[in-house]
Amino acid sequence: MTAAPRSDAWEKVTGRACYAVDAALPNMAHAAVVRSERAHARIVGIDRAEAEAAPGVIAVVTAEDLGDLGRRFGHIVPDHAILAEGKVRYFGEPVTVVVAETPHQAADAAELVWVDYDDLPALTDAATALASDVLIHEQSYVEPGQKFLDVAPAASTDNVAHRNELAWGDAEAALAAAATVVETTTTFPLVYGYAMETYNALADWQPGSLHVVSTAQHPLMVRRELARMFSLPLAAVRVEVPYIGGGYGSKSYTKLEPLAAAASWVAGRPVKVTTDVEAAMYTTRADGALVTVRTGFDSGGRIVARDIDIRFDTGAYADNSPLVLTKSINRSFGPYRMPNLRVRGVAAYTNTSPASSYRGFGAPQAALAGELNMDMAAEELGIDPVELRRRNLLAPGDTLIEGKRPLDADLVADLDAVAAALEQHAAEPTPGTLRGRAVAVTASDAGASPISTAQVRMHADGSVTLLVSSTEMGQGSRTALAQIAARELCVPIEAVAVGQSDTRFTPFEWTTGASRTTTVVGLAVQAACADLWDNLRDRAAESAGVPVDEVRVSDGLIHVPLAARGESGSGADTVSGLTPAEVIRQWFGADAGEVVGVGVVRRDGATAVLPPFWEIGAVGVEVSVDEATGEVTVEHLVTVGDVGYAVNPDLVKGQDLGAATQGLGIALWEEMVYDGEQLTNPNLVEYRVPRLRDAPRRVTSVLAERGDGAGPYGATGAGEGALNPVPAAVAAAVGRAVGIWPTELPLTPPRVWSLLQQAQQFLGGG
Amino acid sequence: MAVLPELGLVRSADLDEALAAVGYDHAPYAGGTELVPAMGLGLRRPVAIVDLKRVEALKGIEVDAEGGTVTIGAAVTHRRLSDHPDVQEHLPTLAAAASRVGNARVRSTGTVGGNLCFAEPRSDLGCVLLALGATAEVRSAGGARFLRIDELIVGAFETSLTENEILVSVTVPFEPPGMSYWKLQSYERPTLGVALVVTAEQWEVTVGAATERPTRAVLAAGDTAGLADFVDGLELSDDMTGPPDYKRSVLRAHLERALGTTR
Amino acid sequence: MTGSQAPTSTVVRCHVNGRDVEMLVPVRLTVAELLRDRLGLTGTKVSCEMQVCGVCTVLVDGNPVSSCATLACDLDGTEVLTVEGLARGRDLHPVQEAFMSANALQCGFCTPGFIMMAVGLLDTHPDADQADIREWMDGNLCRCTGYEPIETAVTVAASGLAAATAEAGR
Repeated sequence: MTAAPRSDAWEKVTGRACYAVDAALPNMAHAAVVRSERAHARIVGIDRAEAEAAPGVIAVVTAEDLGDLGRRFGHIVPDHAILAEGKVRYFGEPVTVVVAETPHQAADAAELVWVDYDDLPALTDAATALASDVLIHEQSYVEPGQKFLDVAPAASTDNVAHRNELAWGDAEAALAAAATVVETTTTFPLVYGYAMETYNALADWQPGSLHVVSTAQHPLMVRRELARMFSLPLAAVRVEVPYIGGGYGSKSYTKLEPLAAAASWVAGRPVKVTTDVEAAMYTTRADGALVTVRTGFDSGGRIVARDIDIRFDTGAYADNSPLVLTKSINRSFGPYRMPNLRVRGVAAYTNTSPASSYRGFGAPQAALAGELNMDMAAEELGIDPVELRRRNLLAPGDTLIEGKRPLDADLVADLDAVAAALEQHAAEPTPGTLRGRAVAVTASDAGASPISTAQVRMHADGSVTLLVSSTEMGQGSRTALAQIAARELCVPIEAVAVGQSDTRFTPFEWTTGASRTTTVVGLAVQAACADLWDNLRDRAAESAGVPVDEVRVSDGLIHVPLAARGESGSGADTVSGLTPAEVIRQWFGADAGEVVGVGVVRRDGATAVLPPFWEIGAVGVEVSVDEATGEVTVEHLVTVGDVGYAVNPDLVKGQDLGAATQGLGIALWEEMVYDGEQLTNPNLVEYRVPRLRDAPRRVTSVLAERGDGAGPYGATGAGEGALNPVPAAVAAAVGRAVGIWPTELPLTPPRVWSLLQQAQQFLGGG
Repeated sequence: MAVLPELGLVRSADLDEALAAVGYDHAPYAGGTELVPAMGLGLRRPVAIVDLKRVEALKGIEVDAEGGTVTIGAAVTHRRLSDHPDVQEHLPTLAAAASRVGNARVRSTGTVGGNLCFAEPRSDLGCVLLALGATAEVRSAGGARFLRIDELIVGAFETSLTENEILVSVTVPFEPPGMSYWKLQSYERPTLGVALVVTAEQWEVTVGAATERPTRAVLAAGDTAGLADFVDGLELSDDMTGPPDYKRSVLRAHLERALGTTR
Repeated sequence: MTGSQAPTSTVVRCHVNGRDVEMLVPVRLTVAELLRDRLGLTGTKVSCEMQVCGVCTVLVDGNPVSSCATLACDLDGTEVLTVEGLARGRDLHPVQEAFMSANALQCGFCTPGFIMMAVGLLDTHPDADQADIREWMDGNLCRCTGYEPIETAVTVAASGLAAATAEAGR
């Protein structure tokens, strides 16, 4: 649409933007969390007498103090203890929370809490957990028939958090008959979706109400869980989310809010809970994955079948992983024509940090194996990898999964754009380096559940307050949604104010995730604006005393017959335009008042068929590898943002480069390393994320705007798409450079060096 | 957010006061670059810190033109070291290495003495100073000791300082011709550092970051066998930056390139 | 010395954004805590607490320091500049302007730190070239933007300041 500047830029460059961590309430107390120093152990006793006697301490809270509060949360499986009860299931699990007058006093007293443990065998990886008789959860928390969306969680107690399948045709028979079968197994690391503002929550419980300010991406989901746990009506629970310092999915669903709220309930004071990076790494990570893909091809290089196994390391609590697994399955076989398919997925409980949503949501895990498999197949079949994909990619309108929305994107065109850009800047390796190029393509069923509401309040001067519960975490939603409202209402963007989400005032929103906001919330905003015009038309008709069907709206004006306005005219069809502000002032009879429009999106109309859109990832990379050190340099990154229509092109490009950079981090650097029970790198010295010097030497960012989306003006979403295929593309490019296909990420310098050694031995050994 | 434990402060106006104050639970404190995070993580728990920043005797950079040395006070920051004209003139490799320590914030506050006394193996200065033949002056109330860098740093996070001693300065001979420093730094801290002094007669090779402490060999020029023995004999660390085999291979490749030898 | 009587609090006198500050602070109080909790200057953020991420960067006597890893008592006698002290009334600092115009922020949590680092660089090295900028700014992390717009912003600010300096010198 237009290059509108970010509405939050001034606040953010002056340091005046208020983030959740900056929030304070009168008489606020501070919490320090005592976390488990065992991965799996029975709690024999907690000695808190010394801590209770320490200066400034208000309360030392353990599970046994929680009275009749709901003890567990979890929107799919309510397995997640607020405070460990009976046993701990991962290193770093909250066991006790100390509430004191100051952060210093809370931290000092927390050191005086003594927890006595009786060790249990620690199951720190998925294979061990699935093979073990030791149970991480001795009971199931799932009621029979309980579902979240279409996810029915496993009611088992065999260390399985979730199990799911997707199949059609006869994959086994087709693979047996295939001309060529190519198999790939990859390991996707445990990664931490580091958001620079670490999790925090401020809670104020008072009789009959609960007020929370937190870093939640999905305030309405958090409200629902808190209402249940505290036996309060939804309306009595207020969740406010100001600016948050990055989310990327890692702040989806409920995290620290129950802990802060329970502490406030016990202490009788507003309580603030913060985390440092180490505690944040214990709070949530992404699911690690072992994925095996077997693909059968006919003699012409066409896929006849895929058989895929996905095994997630989901950590100690289910959180959103059952849904992530389900999505990973849907996203695993590629946007390829697939006559026969079988995908089986299992998410295993382990004694490690709980896993949940992270940008890409199961797609990067599956695509690593699936897209690398295409490159390996291309080599085996002697077909160019771009050409092999071209032969198999689905066309616009094709069905990926029966019953779901047909493909709303042109994947071959996207891929060709990637290939052309890569080709244009391809370079020869410099001495001492090797080079490799690769492409990768993904399609994700994105947009989440199409449930969204928006409210536009037009004031007496024609300016507008837009209310939505979409969380602004950097993606620029407040700017993009203001642009949509401004366009619909024919007002300048400066006349649209968008506030923060606050469940007391802003209307219902399912989530802020799955790249949905521009598409789904954008539709709600459009509907709200249409409703506003209808209401203005009604008011104008009423003021003029004419039937509403004689009032027309066009070009941002409300046209009322002149005769009806008591002015002379040549005929009843002569009209004069009133501005919305004039209509409002006329109706109220003063320079005052406002008119409101409400818009709703549900499973109907443009979003009747799920998903609301397919989010496309189409990327290419060229890498160089230092033969001596194994260091990988990204020489060229190409992204295609196939977004149908870019409401704000700068914001879309920002999403694409940001997402792709996180993908580069996973591909090259990021991994949570457990040594036995304990995380060995719980800090950013040892957990390395991409830095400025790692940025690609060249970036080509292409926007594909074909108007083929269900969102406003044909838009679809961006945010995750450019991450999803990046780890796979980097793995393939490095593989091509060094001469051996990687099977494990991240491709750190020592790991790439080791691949180089293997390649040499392989060559040396003939 | 992490919170530091309760802490006392002793501000020393001069070296004697400082020497009287330091002790097993009274930690010398200058830049705080290493000490403050270590206290935040609970790795160090001094009762008090002894602030050395106001001790003038620790802050000098002095050239002895006749003796051909530069004496650098322990409380000199990396930034001051790298920006100082005398250091740039007489010790250009050291100045360059200091200009790339950590990041710009670390260089603002971090000091030469803190860097050496914390003895984090993954560091540059110890390696470069050992290669330069620097002498550390260590003082206690009872007197002074003069140590080579590999006598000061005796292991990973381990020095030969007693709890009542303070590193006062390092005296560094002017840089000889043929000196270079190269490092591999894929992570926050260096993986491997190599300082070379190459002349027609000899090769001096000093390896740091991958070893528990900087390690030096002096070989006759062209002694490739001796060089190979030195490299093979190094005990290299196994950590996130890579296993010993990897580091040895990178080291070999660098030496081959830098010394113009080939296998 | 043992059986220490070392005081656990001390008076710090300094200027923060030009404002006189005189305060009794615990020795263990960090500069970030002083700024955020005692002076209400929440523009300075905290994240990694290991001197890696740079979101807590402030200038002390013109030098960039990690406020989360520096003790407040060390500010005695210094001039401290935080992100709140950059603008002159309604006029933004050129680096702030450049971050806005280059779209060099998303969530904005890292922005104050990057801006303070850039100011620290350009105040002392107005002639900083691309390599200087890359080396200097590599000490901060951003998780949203992919860095390219940030590098652009600092480059734009540098060339603007260089041009202004040249103009003034004419």
